[in-house]
Amino acid sequence: MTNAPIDPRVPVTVLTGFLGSGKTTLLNHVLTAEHGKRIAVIENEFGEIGIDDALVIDADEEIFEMNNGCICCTVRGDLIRILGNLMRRRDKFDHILIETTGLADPAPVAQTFFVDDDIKRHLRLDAIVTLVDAKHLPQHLDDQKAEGVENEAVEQLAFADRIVINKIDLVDDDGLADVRDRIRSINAVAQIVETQHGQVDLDQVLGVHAFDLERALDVDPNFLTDTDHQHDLSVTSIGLELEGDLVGDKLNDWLGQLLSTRGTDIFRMKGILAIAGSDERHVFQGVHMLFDAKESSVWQPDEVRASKMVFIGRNLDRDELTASLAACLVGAR
Amino acid sequence: MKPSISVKPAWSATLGDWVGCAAWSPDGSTVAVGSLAGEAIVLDARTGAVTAKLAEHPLGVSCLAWSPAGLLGSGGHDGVVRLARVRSSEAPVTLASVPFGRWIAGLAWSPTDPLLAVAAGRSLCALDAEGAAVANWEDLPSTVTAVSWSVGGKVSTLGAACYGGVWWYRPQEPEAPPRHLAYKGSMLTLDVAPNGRWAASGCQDGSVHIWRLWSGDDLTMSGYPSKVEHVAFQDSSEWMAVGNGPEVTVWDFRGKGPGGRAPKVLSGHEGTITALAYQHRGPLLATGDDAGRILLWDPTKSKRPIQAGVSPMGGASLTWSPDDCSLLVGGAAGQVLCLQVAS
Repeated sequence: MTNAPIDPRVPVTVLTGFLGSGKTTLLNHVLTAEHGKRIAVIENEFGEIGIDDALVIDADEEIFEMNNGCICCTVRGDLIRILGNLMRRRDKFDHILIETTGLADPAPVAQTFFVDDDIKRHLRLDAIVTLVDAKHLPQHLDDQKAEGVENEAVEQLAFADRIVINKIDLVDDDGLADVRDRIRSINAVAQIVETQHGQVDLDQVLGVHAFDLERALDVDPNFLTDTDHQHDLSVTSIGLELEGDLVGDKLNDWLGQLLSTRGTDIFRMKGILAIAGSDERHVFQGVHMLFDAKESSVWQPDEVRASKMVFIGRNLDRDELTASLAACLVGAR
Repeated sequence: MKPSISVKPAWSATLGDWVGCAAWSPDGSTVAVGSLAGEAIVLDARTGAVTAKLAEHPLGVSCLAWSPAGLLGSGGHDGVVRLARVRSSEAPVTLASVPFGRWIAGLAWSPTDPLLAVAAGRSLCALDAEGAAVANWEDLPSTVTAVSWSVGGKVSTLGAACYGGVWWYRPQEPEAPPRHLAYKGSMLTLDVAPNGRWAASGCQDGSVHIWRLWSGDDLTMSGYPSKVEHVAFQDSSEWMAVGNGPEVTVWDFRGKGPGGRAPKVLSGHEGTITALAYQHRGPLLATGDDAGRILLWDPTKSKRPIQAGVSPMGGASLTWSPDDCSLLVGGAAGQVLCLQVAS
């Protein structure tokens, strides 16, 4: 393993979760714990936060549509302004926390980090952390929404890199097992942390590096075999693993087509690819239609060249995705 | 023939943080500078000595504007706008302190009336010289990012840029519905050509949107690599410069305007351009980048810079003196450098 160069960019954690899930308590815990970090908090709902060494900025959620060529997405205009100003300050913060409203779709926040050059240069999205209330999560997930309206609780779980189940003291073992099952059926990739009163170990939520392309190598698509607990939910996680080399052009065509037609349904994706003619692993990750990709470590002679991909999204068809990816293999017809 | 321009550093000063705004007094004898550390100070234009310290704006000064009558407006991230009378040999007198509760994104004095336009969050306000609100418009669809006045005859109208285009208001008729020049994008800047014919707005989507103010006809110059934050018209209204990434593009607004014409491309910066300013009445364009390079151009004569200077730590702002003979450079780490430009 080579040592990755130290990333000078300031990490940003996005904290989502329904009203009542304990976000303010968790924020207070993060701000008051002994970690020696200077933290800036950008929040959307006035909470009871008053902390000496931190800066708390109240933001108005302003969602802007962006059209860049063939890619459409939404970003948070208020965050572009606020983060841009924070980055100009000489006394930089060590970490920035963005709290979203209980009903927020996390996509515009995440996409802001893909779209704005200033932000990309100075900040890195560390992770999306979703806080859920053990007692009320099943009820939120079962909320019937009007046709075409996404259930925000489902979206917030689907986008998450870390899911903190809070208030576990309010449910019994069976109840907690059910909550875990419900979460896994939507997002099989995120790591789950269980706690009471928002008292999480800070290492579990800060410094996660979930959007770090090098960490795409950590992807384990083997959850794909776990199909025991199928709930009637349209949002699921799908992992694909395929040995052999992919033809770069075919893969590009397929991914381009997939994202242009299904981009709104694909919340998160990441993976490692073995491309014919390339000595390096190609790693990528994305949010809806936006994605980042780069070359990573070199395949060793004794390694099996194989590609792994993970999708979290709505109405995903595993067989169709598997077949499309297989059609990109060298020698496929 | 190479234009002979000499540039000499005249003096320097140091503030606590990013110097993002500066304003020269109308007579050019002093210049006010503000930083993200919150201080707003007035410096002697010849020596750089501090002549006055204004009340601070905790969390940072975001804008400064000096009226033709000598009133200095300051706005900050504390959400407050202050009006001060600043005279040499007297301590500054704060005439008004107006709380808006939102970051102040822009201040602009009307060229025809003693009115100060204030952009604060989603609202736009016109203050008189005593700091009283003459007009208040609260109905903007998103946070106002820039304000600019447009003069038509003896009447000035006030433009506010935000997501969705530019809204134009008349302070004389605050109840009248605004004129909306629409564009589906997040507008970051607003500049009106001195002849009043054109308005230009840099966009988050990597374009500059242009309107013909009389007809409302518009066009888009797209294809910039990143969001467009630096746009300026030359005094003759014949040229408009755009700084984006390491390049400056200069558009030809003579005759029918820039539609269908290719811009001049000026290359010389290595870093990302962070500031850009035309002289008030001359042909010179000053640009600064985040690597600390300050370049002067005479774009109608040459695509090469005619002079280069280096500020210690990236230029955050560039402001010409009223006589166009001094250029104030505000640095990213708090430095202030005054350059003497003689031709």
